[in-house]
Amino acid sequence: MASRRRMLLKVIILGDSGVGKTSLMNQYVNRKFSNQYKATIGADFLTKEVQFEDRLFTMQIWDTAGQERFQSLGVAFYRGADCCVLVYDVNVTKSFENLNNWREEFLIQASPSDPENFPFVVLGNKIDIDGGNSRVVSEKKARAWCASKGDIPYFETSAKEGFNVEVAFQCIAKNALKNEPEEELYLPDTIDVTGGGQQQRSTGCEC
Amino acid sequence: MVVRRLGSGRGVTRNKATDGVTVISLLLLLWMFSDGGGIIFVEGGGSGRSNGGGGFWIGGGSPSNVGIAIALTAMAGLALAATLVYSHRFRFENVSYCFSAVYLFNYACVTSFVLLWFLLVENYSLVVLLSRGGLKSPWSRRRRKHALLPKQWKILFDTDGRLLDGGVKFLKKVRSGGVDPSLRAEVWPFLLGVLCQAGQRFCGCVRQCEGDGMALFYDLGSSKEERESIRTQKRKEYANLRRQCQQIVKPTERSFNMKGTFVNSNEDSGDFSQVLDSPGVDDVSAPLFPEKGSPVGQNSDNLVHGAASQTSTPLGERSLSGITCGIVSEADTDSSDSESSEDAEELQLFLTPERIQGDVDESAEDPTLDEHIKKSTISEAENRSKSQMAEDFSTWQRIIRLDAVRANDEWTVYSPSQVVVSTMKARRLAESVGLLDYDHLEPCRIFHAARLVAILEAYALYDSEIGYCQGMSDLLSPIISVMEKDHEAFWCFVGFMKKARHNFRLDEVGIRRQLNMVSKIIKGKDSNLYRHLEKLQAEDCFFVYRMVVVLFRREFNFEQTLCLWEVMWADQAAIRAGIAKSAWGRMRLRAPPTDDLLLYAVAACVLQRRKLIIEKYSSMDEIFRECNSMAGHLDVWKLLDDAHDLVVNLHDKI
Repeated sequence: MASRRRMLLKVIILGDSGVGKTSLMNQYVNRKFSNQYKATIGADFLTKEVQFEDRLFTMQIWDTAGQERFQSLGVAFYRGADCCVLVYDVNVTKSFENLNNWREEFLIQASPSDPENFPFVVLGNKIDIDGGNSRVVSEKKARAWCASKGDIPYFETSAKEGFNVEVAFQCIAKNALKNEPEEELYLPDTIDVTGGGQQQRSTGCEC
Repeated sequence: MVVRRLGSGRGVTRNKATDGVTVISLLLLLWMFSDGGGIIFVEGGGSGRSNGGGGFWIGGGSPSNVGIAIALTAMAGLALAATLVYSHRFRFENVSYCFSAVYLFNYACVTSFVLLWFLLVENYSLVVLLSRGGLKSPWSRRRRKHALLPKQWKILFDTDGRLLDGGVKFLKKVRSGGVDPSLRAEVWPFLLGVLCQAGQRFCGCVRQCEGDGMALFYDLGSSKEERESIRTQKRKEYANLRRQCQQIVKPTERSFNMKGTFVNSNEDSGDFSQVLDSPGVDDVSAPLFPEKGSPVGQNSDNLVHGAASQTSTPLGERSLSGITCGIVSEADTDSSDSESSEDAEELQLFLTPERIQGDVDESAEDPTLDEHIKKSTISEAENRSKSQMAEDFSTWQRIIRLDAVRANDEWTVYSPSQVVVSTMKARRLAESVGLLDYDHLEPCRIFHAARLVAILEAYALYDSEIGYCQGMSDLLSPIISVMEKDHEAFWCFVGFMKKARHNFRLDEVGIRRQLNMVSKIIKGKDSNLYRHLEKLQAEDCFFVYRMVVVLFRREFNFEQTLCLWEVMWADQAAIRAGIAKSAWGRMRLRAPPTDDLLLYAVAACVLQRRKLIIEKYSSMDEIFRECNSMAGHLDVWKLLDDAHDLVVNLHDKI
């Protein structure tokens, strides 16, 4: 039964403006990079089919605006997240310092059932810039922070060069899945995209 | 037959092929037998298509010869009916038969039709007359009329350079067709009420005009001379704002906080006393705006107080750092004071409290919002101690620079004069505003980005309640492309933001009100769709968030966006000028001007996809995706048609 169903994994990407959230998402989903992505307004998402242990999943990746001006409006798409990706720019200290705020805010807004164990993944992006010479946040510092927050998996990435992006997202998928069984218990129908779609189609016609 | 073609526009030829044959043959006939009319006709169709609509209305002439026109209309009505019956009968028969039969009929009618055509285009009141008569008039459905052209624009002014009839005709024209690209730089300041901001802050102006019962009519009624002096003044004000920006953050990127600078200037110089005496300030209670109030209230304790209340919020850490910056920057006092006596007048600008008050007054037009905002003013102040303090000027500056270098180059096609900027000039400007990371850009884009930075920074100072929020650069970029002078672009942007700023308010009152309104429009128009949205927990309409915040900038191309904005601005200008109530009955559009045309357009956009949404979409995500993928799939004039229809049907209910 389970192998037939396609599960939806909802992933939210958070982080300061300009750290490369949109680029990471596009690099992973479309294997493309552009330095012309406009600022994300509100949110947007892309989906990608992923296979994990012989099962197919649809990963729905939500890219969000970096300027967290409208916090409570974000609730709508934080809801039902399976994994949260926190991104910072290794060349901008502030973007690293803000990770804590992003994490806390996510936990408040999404209010997952088990906040202590909710899966996060941290990405230190833009390691390609200036051959790493303009880097201000060391890997050690970042790992230390991740360790202090319950061993959050950490990856150093370059969305521009596609470095480590695939690996990072595999880890994200794996962690999102860990969160999955629990969700399934609560909301089996909404998680199943295929089944849900068909079901709605029939009810849709009655309207 | 002419009339029929006129009214139904492109739809006929596209959707009803059989009908189309008849119509096309008749068009040919008309063209053969009536040179003048035929040519106009063909031109109208051509330009309409190129603009994504089938505009056929020409010229907004003055109402004249109404009597003759009505008589002729009656005649035309008969002829039309006869023609319709005739062509309907022969529709399925031999085309040539149909052709010759209608040929004869039309030949007889052509002369009167051509005459009628001219009268019609001169007399839109006829359209209103017909459409109100209960008949489903074929031309009640508006397509794009011609944009306001230079020659028409010129004759709208009297010898003093004052707009005739207070701008009614001007606004009517823009409402229905936008503005010709060559005129934009000249016309926009009128549309955006730049000229009304003369000499005073918003609120003073609003109050004064409302007191006179003419609500900002002065704006459109100014003479050329008056406008010149306003322009000079505005240029100085902008120059001062820029000076302030440069003082706040030196090129070394010290993270000074603007609020800190205020406190300093205030504490150390008596120049602000004249601010306190200026009209419109005294009725604003400073304590309502703790951190903003400090320059007025001369009480830097507010800052400390604000900081203390911060620590409990999740954002406390950042807010605190912002405030620390502010206090640290006291060391910078001297530089900001050096010009303060000269700047004192301009510094009034920074006193946002009364400006906010001005906006509150203005939004009093909307009774629900009014209540809401008045209540929220206090909570807003409280809220701000939580959220706004989280963002300081240096944060805004950083994000402004980020957004500026990623502005796209779509505008370059439309502003060739700005494309030819030299590398040297571009880099010099970029350096002067502290722009970095632009090496991948061509000179014209560096220049554009640097202008964005300069103006957005100035705006963040000017309206520090809003500061900078992502999306604002999307709104400014087209303005920069049209207005070549920074100070003009700035004041146009200020005019634009008068309404749009509410979307960016930190207390979310503005954006929530907008989304709520879209939701109401959808509910009022289509209860089935609304129920479906409820079922998917999407009735809050969050999925149109981006459309609302950047006013379709991401959905439409450059030209389409500007058309939409111009029509929208004309509506807002008509309301500001008080034309809304008195003259809309005579307007060509049946829809009265509304401040919320954009929201009707957003709702129309969703409603255009009702079938898809109801039948295919079973989650909010899917609707969200649909709404975020509309770029290139919208017709701006069709959307405006639909939006106006919604306004007609719902404006008094919502």
